[in-house]
Amino acid sequence: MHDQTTLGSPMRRRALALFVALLSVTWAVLALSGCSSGATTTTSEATPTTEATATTTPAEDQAAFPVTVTDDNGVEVTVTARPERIVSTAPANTEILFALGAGDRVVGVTSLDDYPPEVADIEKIGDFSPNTEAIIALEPDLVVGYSGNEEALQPLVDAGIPVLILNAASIDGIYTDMTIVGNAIGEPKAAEDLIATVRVELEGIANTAAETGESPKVFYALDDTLWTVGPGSFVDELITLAGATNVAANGPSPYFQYTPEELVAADPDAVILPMTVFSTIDAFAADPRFAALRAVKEGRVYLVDDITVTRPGPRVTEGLTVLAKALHPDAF
Amino acid sequence: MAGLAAALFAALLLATAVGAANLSPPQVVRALLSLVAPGSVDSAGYPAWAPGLLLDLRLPRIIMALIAGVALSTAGATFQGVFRNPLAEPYLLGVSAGAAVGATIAILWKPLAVFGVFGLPALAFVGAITAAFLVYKLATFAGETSGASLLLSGVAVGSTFTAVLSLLMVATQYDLRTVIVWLMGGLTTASWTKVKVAAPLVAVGVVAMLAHAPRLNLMLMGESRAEELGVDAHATRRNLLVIASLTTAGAVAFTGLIGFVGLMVPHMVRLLLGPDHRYLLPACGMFGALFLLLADTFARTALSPAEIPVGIITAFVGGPFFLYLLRIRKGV
Repeated sequence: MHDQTTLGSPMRRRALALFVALLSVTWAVLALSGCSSGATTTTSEATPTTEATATTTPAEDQAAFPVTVTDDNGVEVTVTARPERIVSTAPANTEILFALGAGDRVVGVTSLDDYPPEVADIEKIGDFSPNTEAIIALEPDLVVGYSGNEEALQPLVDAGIPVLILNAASIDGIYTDMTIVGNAIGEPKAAEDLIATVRVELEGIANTAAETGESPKVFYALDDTLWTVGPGSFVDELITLAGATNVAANGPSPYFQYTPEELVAADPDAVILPMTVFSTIDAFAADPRFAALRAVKEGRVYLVDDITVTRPGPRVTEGLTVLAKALHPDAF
Repeated sequence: MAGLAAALFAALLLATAVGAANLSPPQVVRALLSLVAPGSVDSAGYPAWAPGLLLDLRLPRIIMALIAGVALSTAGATFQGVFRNPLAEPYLLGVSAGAAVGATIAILWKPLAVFGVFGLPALAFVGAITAAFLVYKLATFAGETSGASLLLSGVAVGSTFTAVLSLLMVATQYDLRTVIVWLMGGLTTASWTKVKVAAPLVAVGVVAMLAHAPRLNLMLMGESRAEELGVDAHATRRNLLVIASLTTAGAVAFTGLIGFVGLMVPHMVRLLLGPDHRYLLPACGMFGALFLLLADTFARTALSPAEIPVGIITAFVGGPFFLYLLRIRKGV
């Protein structure tokens, strides 16, 4: 350990001096670049956004505030005025906001957001984890968060900004979330209409599926290691609505892992694979362990666009359609 | 040393000025002034959220980076001195594996959420201490604990804990990302409450290690020689390892497993200042603080608003650094 490669005195001092110089240069560079890019946050926006902006709000909506809603964590959140700068930390929340007509009031979304196309132009505040600083810098007056974000969003709660934490574990949970958001943003009627629309669509698809008289046994794969959806997950509900029986419906939890043996023993009529994990069905269909499955032999292994199936938002109707089409190709 | 202090100060300025929220340096200065001397600055000169953001988000994170940097590098230098081995580092005696298991249990076992924000660090700390205790106990035969048996015991206990960790990771799908992000180390959730707990713990440990510096110097000559010179080598080694492990555990419980700091910083400082622990230990502390602060500042600004876990940055520096060490040693 006596690596006596100690540099001589002059070299030592030069190295340290160089280091400090480097640091100062970096500081100067960043300071200068900060000056130019600092233009995005105007110094005049010091006023809290309770003042109405240019958008005219109907009198009945203004009368809706202040409003207190209870989020999915059971926390009572009071919104004192119509939110005009809303930040969403999950794609599902963003979709709900846009579906309620509040898209123009959304100022921050995650980099994972992909619908509707307008989100591409909205400032990004993080990915799986929201970036607290980025959210604060947007001066939001409402944050629609998701389960797991609590710690990151705590500073906003401490600053008095209303923060909703949503976590839909069922289709009813999705409706509840729509109601919560609708009330919080001053669009309770829009929320009711949205829920009614979604409900009617889901029922329509479910009825068409039921009319086929078939209820194939299906295995829904969440990934390529046989993780699947069990009781208590809303995907499980969707499968039932799509006129099918989830082989994992008696599982131990909403999300758990199947074993190859269990899968072979269950021998489902159909297997659903997510497009976000599989590019083709070959990885599954060609797997020698599953060659004996009826679904593989009869060619009933389907690749579906799972984003709408697993996103607890208004497009759950598309998710159900996607499932129903795969399971009852003749009826849809 | 004065150079180090200057560099540290410069880095502090830099870290305060940059972040996901775009604040120009003049705005930062004005916001800070408004905190220190209220009323002295025109409030239009900075966004209303700036002082809160700086005080409650950036500053605690910066302080935590300093605390962790000091803890890991001083502990690293101590480990290297005690074992007289250039590859020794603070995670040697199972601290990292134990902390990882503790933290993972805290993440996975939902009922623990009732303990709030301190549940995870507390459990990580307990895990780290348990592992270190086991390592020491298992390596002690008839009151004798040799360096070699400590290393072997460290490997054995570490591997076992890592196996438990792997088992826990396999059992979850939806918390996996949270676990992995923690394992990679990060300062995202730093807060004043956490700083208030971590700081005294680390401070006591670091001061204790500094007090042992003269004895460490003597132990460099070998234990029998040290004994001849009046140092109780076994007691010193045991005490130092306990103190260093506790200090490391205290840091890691709040930051996750930030690697390479404890390993590289002592080498870097030894190159500049030589092996005298009376200078090496404090210099390591300062250099470690500086290094981790810069690494974290880079981690939270490079891909803003996404954050790179700081452990990745330190690892990226670590690889080339060891190549460099290899090259210069060959020249000796």
